[in-house]
Amino acid sequence: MVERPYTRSLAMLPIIGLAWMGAAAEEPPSEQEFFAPVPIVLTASRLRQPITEVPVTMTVIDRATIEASGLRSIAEVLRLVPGMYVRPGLGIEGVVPVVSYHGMTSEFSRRMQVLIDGRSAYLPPFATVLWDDLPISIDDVERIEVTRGPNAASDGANAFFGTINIITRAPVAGEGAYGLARAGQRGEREGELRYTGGLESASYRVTAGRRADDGFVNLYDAQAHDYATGRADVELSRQDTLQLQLGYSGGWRQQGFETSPVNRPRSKGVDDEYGQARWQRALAQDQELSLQYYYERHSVRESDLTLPIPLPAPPPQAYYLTADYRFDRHAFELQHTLAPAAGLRVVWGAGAQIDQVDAPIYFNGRTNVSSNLERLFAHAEWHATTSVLLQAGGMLERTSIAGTDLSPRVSATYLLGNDQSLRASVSGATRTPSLFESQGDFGLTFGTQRYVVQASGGNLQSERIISSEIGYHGSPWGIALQLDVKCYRDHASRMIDEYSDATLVNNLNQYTLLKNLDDAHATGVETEVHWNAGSATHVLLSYAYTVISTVPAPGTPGVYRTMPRNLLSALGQHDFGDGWGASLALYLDGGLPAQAAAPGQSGQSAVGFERRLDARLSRRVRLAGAHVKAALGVEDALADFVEFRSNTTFTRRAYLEVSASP
Amino acid sequence: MGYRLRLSLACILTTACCMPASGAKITVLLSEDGPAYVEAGEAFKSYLAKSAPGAAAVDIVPLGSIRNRPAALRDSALIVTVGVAAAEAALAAPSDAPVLGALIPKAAFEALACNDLRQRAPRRCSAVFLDQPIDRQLALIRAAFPERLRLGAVLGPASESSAPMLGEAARRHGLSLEVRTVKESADLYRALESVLAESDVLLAVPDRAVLTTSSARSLLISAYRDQVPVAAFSESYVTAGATLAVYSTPQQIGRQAAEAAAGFLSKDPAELPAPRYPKYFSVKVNQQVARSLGLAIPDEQTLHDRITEAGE
Repeated sequence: MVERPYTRSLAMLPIIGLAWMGAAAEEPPSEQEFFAPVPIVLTASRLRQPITEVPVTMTVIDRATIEASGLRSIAEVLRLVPGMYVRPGLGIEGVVPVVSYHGMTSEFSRRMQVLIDGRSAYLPPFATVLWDDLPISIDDVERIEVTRGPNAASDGANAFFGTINIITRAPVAGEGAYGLARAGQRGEREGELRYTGGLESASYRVTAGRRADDGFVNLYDAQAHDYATGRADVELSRQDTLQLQLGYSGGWRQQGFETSPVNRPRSKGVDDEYGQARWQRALAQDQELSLQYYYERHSVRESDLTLPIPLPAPPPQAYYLTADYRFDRHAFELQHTLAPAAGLRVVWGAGAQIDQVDAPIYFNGRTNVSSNLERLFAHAEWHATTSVLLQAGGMLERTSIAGTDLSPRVSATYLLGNDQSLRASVSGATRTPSLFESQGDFGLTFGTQRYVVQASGGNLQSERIISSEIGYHGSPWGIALQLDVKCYRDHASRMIDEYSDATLVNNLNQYTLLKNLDDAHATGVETEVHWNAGSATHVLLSYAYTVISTVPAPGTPGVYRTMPRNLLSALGQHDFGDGWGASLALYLDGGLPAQAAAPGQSGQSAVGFERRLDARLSRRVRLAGAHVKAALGVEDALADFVEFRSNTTFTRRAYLEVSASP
Repeated sequence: MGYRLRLSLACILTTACCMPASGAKITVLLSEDGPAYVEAGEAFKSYLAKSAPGAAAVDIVPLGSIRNRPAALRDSALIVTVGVAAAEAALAAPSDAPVLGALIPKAAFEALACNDLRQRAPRRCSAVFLDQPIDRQLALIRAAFPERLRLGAVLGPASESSAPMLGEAARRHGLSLEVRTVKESADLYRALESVLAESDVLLAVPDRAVLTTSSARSLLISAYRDQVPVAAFSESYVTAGATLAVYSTPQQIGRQAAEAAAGFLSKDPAELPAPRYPKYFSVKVNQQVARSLGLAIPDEQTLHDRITEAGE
């Protein structure tokens, strides 16, 4: 049979027909899938250093732990870190959580560097972190890496006792929409909406919400905050990504006391805005260059009407006081990661930061008080042999406040088999005095009279710390139980604190000066245990034994009521299957001795052994195609958890939470 | 069989045995002029010259040049195509020369009209597949992560038919398999959420409806977040963040194609070997990602040896 010329093409018709019928998606892969360049996603900075190799003890709090705890406040989650003391502070900023590693802090969380995606949350003029004002939702946190030990070599001045590094989740296209609502006792109300989407070469996330609560029972400290944040990760090319972030947080916080004639109950408005851009280029495996800029503005509006005050001369009258302030920060950082030889990895970089503060009440009428900072840092990691890792680094910083300081660190890690390691390190850090500590002059003006409350003693120098530690990380009793132990000695000197004596009186009012005062020593043992008790049960246990002693400066009482000798936290979570889950958290606080009153400072009564129990039950279901989760929980179920001082007594707080994503 | 086909066969046989050995012409058709294609073509030419010197004159030709001159392929003893587009064009061209496909994945080869013609003339076209046999991929996973026994994968419309074969292969290697199928890349994230929760290792399967460049990002970030290593199918993926991959380079494919061509030229009657998976392969490991996940993975050469010892 002679074959007709077009038989071959006819034979192809059924195949063409099938292709046309919309099975284009069923096209088999071509060779292009195998050779197409895939954008480099896991770059050097995105990869976490394995926990067995970190130079200084580190705790990582991951998403699963944050969710199991049911906590909505980042500061509270940090109670799960060994050696971290989280307690309420009462002071210039109102009633705010104070987070400190090894205590040794006043009402300001000022001796730890806190970073959110590389932005320092450590704000002038008081060098404090306002945990409740942070423009971030805890649901957007991927993990929190806490370096427990001076980390100035990597994170700069003020990483004095360590660094809290909050890393937000990279937006992953496909996550879609998410909503959460929560209501609880003590006026707790929270609502949040989030959307994560993607375009061809970008993914983005927008989150907005509102949180409010009534605070402690017998204090004037209710608060409410709105926040909105956005993040976009854009792939400029296979090697280049640009990360953009914008954020806003605004709200109010009550402070003051009914019993105080001057510090009357009032509301202060707080606002925080920031914008950030970070460009990263992946140069080769384990090599990366990044450039970052961010701008942050923080403003506070606060005014107070005193009670009628009897002052010399005029008859008793009420006075109007305002304590508005504002600050702006611009910060730049360049960082280069490279691997110049086999087994050697180097990170170096440079940065600059400009802070401008407009706070006349805190600087005796001066506006535009500013400080500049320039820094240069380098860190090297060398695998000398397959089991010996040596690391060294340092940060050179020059500030307009305190001149030039060097913070070095050296560490050696011995990697045993089976994911175990022994480490030893010595690190030094400095803490630059805050703008207020170095130049502050806080006074209240009543009519023509100015009364100084607190001022800088002048010529303040940076605080210094040298910390040495030895540690172990591993699973000595089988893979289900992972243990980390740290023993350390810290020597801190020239600690800045309040000082007063009989000579510091103006206008019949005793005031305090901020000066370099005491030396303090801390020594202790900390341990962290992760135990997979079964395939569905996980327990995290943290314990710290801390002994702090101070060497008082001449003429000062030198009593340092800083942190309980024993602190323990335990979080257990269990998955019952079928969407049911539960968690139980226990916090034990060993108590604090009494502190006698000193000139310009009130005393504190002793706080005995305290315990707190949180419980949470949750259920996940599919409702009409959406993933829905409901949770019922109680914080401080046993009630009356007293922390740090007797008037900050927590009460039982039950809550109901519902979240959904279509 | 038709008269015309018998005539074609006669032509081929005549060409094969009557033409002097050094006179056989082989045309290498490149789908594109990108480096992968050129490297495969050059590797074919040089390996053929080494293993069968003087057996044939190799002409490397871009696809565009024969589009307007379809008769250009007529006098070739063998057409070696590099890439899917070249294979389709060679089979559509009015030539009876057998076609050897290189740089073509198995599923793409099977979708060609070649199957139709094979009924009339077996061995008229063959290929050296680009993708790796599943047993080799699983042998790599077992060698690199001996204690990770739960395999996960997300399949798409083009790959879902391979689910049963994947399941059997997993069983053979002592692995359990958790599979989800999606229709498009927007559904990848949700499917990954459930697969990653039940897996210790994620196998990335090429499917252009599911794995686009942006969904590749989702896959790598989600897997890393859940601390699950990814076994991918290309070197590029490993550089991007997958933990490891077994793959064949264009040079390795070109070399195997040259061996098939040398065999073809030396046989009487000339016959191409059956389509088969690549013999030569490479292993790439992203040690930074592995270390970050806390995994101690043997080096690439050790893994390569273990796969070879396992007979894959």
